[in-house]
Amino acid sequence: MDFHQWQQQLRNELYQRHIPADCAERLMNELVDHYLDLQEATQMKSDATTNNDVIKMLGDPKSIATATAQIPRRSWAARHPLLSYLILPPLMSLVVLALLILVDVFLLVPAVRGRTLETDPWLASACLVLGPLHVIVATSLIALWSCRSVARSGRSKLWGIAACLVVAILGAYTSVNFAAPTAVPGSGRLSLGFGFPLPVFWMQAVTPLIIGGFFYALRRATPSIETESENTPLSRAA
Amino acid sequence: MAKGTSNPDFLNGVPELMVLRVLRDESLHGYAIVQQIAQRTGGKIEFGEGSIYPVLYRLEQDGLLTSRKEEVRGRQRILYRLSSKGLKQLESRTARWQEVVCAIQTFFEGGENGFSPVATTAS
Repeated sequence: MDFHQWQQQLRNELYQRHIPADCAERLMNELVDHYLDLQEATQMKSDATTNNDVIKMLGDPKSIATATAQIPRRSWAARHPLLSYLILPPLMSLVVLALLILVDVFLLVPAVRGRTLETDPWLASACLVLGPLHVIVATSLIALWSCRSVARSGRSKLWGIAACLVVAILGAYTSVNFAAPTAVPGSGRLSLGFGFPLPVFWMQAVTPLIIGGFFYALRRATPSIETESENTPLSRAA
Repeated sequence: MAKGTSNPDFLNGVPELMVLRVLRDESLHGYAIVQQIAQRTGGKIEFGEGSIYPVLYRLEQDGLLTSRKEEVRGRQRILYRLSSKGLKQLESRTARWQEVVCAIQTFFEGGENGFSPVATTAS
């Protein structure tokens, strides 16, 4: 086998194992350099080492590809935990909240058009629930997403807890109020604001905290890559 | 470094430790790291030289190494360097490795709580 065949075999093995293109390219480039260095060294020593021996020294393409495939892939979120789990979650919660309100504008408002508290008294209780519900749904979705992202990234579970806590604090301080029209149709109001949390708003913080608690409990038995990597080589060697 | 051979399974994780140790002294590219390991072990530790790169990538991803491109003898090479986290890891892993080596040595020499292969053979 010459070096080109060896390279092609390695390329195929990497492709079969779905190694990302940038990683495969970097590996190929480094191996070409390594091969050139090996060739240079054998020429300088002028011993009986043949080209086949040099290729054997590089190793089996299948083993190299397998070892490369075993490297855990780190997502963008895992590489930027501070941004992904502390700064983005509250911002994303606000975006989801805005989207939910947009859905209201297109679906809910037309559905209750022409109705007032006089004609439909149930609107009062519906409005009372609807505001906090929006905040709970938005913060819970982001808390779930954050926990899932942390679990997939192999980062410490504390990042998931931190994300849930930040989102819970935002939930406690966010107020969404729907006011149904009393007598004149079309005079209903929607207000969105932030302020010192009233006890009723604390309820909005509970769901992300529960999600965080569940995440912590579920991940207790599963070590993260961060903690695992501290012990792996020597425990394996032992 | 010998050709076409590999080390027994119990040496899993040792190349990582050696790479960290070699890079403690200077920044090196893959080929130079392999040469250093071969030189420092007298060629006793053998692995396919190409396998060093997945090891380097894994260590880099764990934040134990950093890499940068630099021109070495007219070629653009990737030089690897030990990070501060890598240095701490090297210290703790070396300490554990020494403990393990001591324990295994004690075991084979028939020391405290160990067995003596000589005594067993004699009986």
